[in-house]
Amino acid sequence: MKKSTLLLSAFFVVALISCKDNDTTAPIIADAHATAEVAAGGELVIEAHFTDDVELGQAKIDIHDLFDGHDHGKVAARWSETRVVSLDGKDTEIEEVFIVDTNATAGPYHALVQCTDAEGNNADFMEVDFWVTRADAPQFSVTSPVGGTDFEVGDVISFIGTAMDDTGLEKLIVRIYEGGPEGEHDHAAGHDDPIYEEEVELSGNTMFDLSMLSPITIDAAWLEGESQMDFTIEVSGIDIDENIAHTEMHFQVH
Amino acid sequence: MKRLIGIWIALIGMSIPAVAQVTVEGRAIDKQTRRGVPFALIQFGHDHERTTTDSAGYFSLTVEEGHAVGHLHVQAMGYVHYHSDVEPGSDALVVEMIPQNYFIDEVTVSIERKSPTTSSSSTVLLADRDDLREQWTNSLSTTLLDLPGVQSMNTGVGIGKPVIRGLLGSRVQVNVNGIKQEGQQWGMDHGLEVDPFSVEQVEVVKGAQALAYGSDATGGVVNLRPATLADQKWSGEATTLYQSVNQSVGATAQSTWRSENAWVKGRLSGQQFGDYRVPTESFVYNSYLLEIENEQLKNTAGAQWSAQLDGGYSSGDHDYSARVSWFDQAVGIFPGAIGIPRSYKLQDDGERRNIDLPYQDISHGRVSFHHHYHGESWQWITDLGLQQNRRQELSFPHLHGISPDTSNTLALGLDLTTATLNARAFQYRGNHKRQWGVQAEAQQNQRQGFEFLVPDYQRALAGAYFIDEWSTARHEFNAGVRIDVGHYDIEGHYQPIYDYLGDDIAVVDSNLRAIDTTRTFPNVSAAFGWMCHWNDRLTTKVNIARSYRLPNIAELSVNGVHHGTFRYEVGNPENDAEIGYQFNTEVTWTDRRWSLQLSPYINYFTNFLFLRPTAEFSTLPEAGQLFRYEQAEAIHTGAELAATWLLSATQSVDLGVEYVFGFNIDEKLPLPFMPPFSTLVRWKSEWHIHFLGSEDWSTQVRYRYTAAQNQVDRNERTTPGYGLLHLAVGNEWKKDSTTWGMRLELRNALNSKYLNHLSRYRYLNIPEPGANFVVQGYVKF
Repeated sequence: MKKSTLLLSAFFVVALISCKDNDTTAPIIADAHATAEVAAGGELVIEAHFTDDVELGQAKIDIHDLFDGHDHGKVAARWSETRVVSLDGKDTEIEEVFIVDTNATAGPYHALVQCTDAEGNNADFMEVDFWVTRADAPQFSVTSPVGGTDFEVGDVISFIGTAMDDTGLEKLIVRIYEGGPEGEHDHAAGHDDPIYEEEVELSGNTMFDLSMLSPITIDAAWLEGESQMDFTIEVSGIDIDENIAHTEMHFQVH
Repeated sequence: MKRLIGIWIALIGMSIPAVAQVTVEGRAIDKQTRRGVPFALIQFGHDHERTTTDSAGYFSLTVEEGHAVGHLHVQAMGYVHYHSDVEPGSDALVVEMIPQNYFIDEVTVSIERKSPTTSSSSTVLLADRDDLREQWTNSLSTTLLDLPGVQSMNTGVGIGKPVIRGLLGSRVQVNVNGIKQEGQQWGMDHGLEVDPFSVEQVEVVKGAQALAYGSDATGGVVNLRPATLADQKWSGEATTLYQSVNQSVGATAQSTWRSENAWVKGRLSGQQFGDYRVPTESFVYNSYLLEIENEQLKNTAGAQWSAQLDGGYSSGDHDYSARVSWFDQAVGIFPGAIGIPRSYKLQDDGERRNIDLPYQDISHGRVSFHHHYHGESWQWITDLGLQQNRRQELSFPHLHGISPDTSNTLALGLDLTTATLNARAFQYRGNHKRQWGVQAEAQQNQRQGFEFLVPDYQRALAGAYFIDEWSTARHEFNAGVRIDVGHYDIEGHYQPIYDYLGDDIAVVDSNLRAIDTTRTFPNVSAAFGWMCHWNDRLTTKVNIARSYRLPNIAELSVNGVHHGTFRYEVGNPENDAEIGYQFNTEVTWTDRRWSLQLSPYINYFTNFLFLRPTAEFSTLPEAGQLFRYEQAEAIHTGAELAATWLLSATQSVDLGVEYVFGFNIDEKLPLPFMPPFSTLVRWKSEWHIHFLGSEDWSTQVRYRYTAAQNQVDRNERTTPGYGLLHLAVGNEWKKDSTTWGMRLELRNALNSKYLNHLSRYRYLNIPEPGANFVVQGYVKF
């Protein structure tokens, strides 16, 4: 018994001493950006900033569509891209240019940014969102509501404007989310649940009059007890080629 | 759990006639030592006339006259509950009771129930049907959790694989009726394909079993065996189980017919469970707050069923038996565990019991033949088995790239066929028991699916060993050698890459994912064991072994994204067999009321196979960094302490403490997935009171404290500590030869929110199941 106890403690000492000089600190993705909107066939620029306490390893950028998150079962996107970039030093910025496929379906996309250091420590990943646009995707012209308007509880929001699509609209969706313009609702992990949602099924109309949408009465419950809050109205349309386009308006409720 | 030493009680009952009262007198003695059993509880009839034996085992109980015949109960912790009709006034009554080998949960003291291949110097735990009943869950490995040193690597509640002292997978060998259960070499989320309901007896041998079991027994061995046949012509058992945490309903029924020399036994089991409840409404993953709707973890439902048919025939010294078994399981995988969890994937689908994509569909079929010759000085045991493991992982087809057929959801299929032969001979001569054995295995894997993980391969193993065990008055020794050769023939694989060519999807390129490989691994192992009975109370065991483990197919040739682990694993066909030098010890001290067992161990591996995270990324879409199977010097050490204190004839307190530490010497980092330090305290009590027509009530309070695990490998998360409280009450009604029983349990009674370091959902920060109300009803005849 004594022998094993001795051996055991000896190994523990060795283990503890040898634990010291080892880089187990993960690198950090300090920042990542993408061009907010890019037309199919255009250039998407992704910038990212990585730091590590010893030496960076590699970065990986995965570009994917986010259509699944929009209640849309089909996968029509023709564009996804993956790129691995070698990194040097402790503090490195990269600027990667991707050419969006000319056939890319319009809609929301995201880029997943990952990073390792030279020892294989893995950073918490980051995701950046962007939209791919097309001339043949739905187009919106909204004169009401006007972005930046302040509303009171009980006010009614009604729509004036048009949605147009040369190939024909399949669906129009109006959603209201909590939060203002700067990424307050988290695209990356999918949207938060909308507090309001209306879907209009269309059968290939090339134009839709937005005043046909139901007026929205602002409910006191939206404020969840706060005195004022920011909200975003998103109007999105899907055409029969599966292209998605959207427009957003931000407003405040007192 | 039931406990204690295989000892007999004999009882001498005497009664002296009296006018109004009679006295029942006698003595309870220990069959082995012939000493009196002190403090045994004596109860006569239903009048609650009670007494206890004195320090020498004598008792005297005065009962009302008028009992022509009364029922006498004698109970003492550590002894079989004795009860029989006695006639006051009759002559001295001598009763010989059927020996029932018990053990203190953790420690086996009884040699009889050990497998003949298990050496006396090994640290062994045994559990029988009644023990398993106390812990039944949806998977077998979590059912074994109360055994110190035994853990479970879980994926939800339906999938688990046993972990012995922090080692798992192809480092733990699971044998069913002597045939090695395959499929354990697959990944972390590939559970043991055994229905927990079908298991009747479990033997867990801790530490390397280098000789009798061969490769894959580095961490230990779990032997699943059928219960001993009952004496009567017909016997059987049926159990139903309900768990509230996942609305699990299950049932199993077994029936056995036997004659003088033949028997047939059949069992059918099934379980169905819904999404399980966790005590939280959200979890944080990579700084995203994600919702768990209704506190139910989406798509963790499952269903499984199994059937076994056994038959046997005895002719003189020869026993022949055969067994056919089938196991089928479908279990959903939490969609957040495949790729990055996204809130739209986690939205409640409104159904709790459905199994949606992604899920696993698993089946396991086995046919085995067994021959046992038991002569005067020789025993032969031969097991021959053929088994097929089929595993399908179904998921969204576009997960890691474009696939040709978006309706095809078969991501990964593994189809493994294995033939096994184990033959061993035992010679008993003088104080020697000599064992010769040969083992052979042939295995073939065929892959399917639009993803690639491991290639097709054939594998052949052969081994032969010799062990000599000899004993003197106080010492038992064993020593042996084993030679093995393993051969792999791995087929290379090109994975097609699909892309759009205009509107059509076509193969545009291919990736070399596995290369043609042929490897042969020869090895010599050796072991020495020594057990010493220092006195009646103190026993020590020492085992020294050189163990060997063949690399598994993943360690040689995996090349793909392991589902849900979000990392890309790469094997190396150049990896060598893992060699370990193992030093296991055990000190046992037993007394009438105390039992203590301490089992420290230290193992040194010259080339421990592990997954090393690298700086490189996989170029596959959404796959994470590359993890390569490499080899390094490693130390694996720890200890378990098990103690039982018999408070009285009907009450006991158990303590189980376990600690394991693994250290990669080359990397200077802890080994991954090491269970944290934990302590289990359990108070068990029997209550022989009249209530609801039953006299056999029992209660149990268990508390497990698990410390934080801060010794983690690179990129492995630390896990905070937690405490769990479990409560149980059970009772039995006996009528003629039939026993009816019921057990109510409240597991995780405080609805604690905790993370399990060994859960595959740990890296998502998803807590384990919350409070669980478990109801069990059973009948035995």
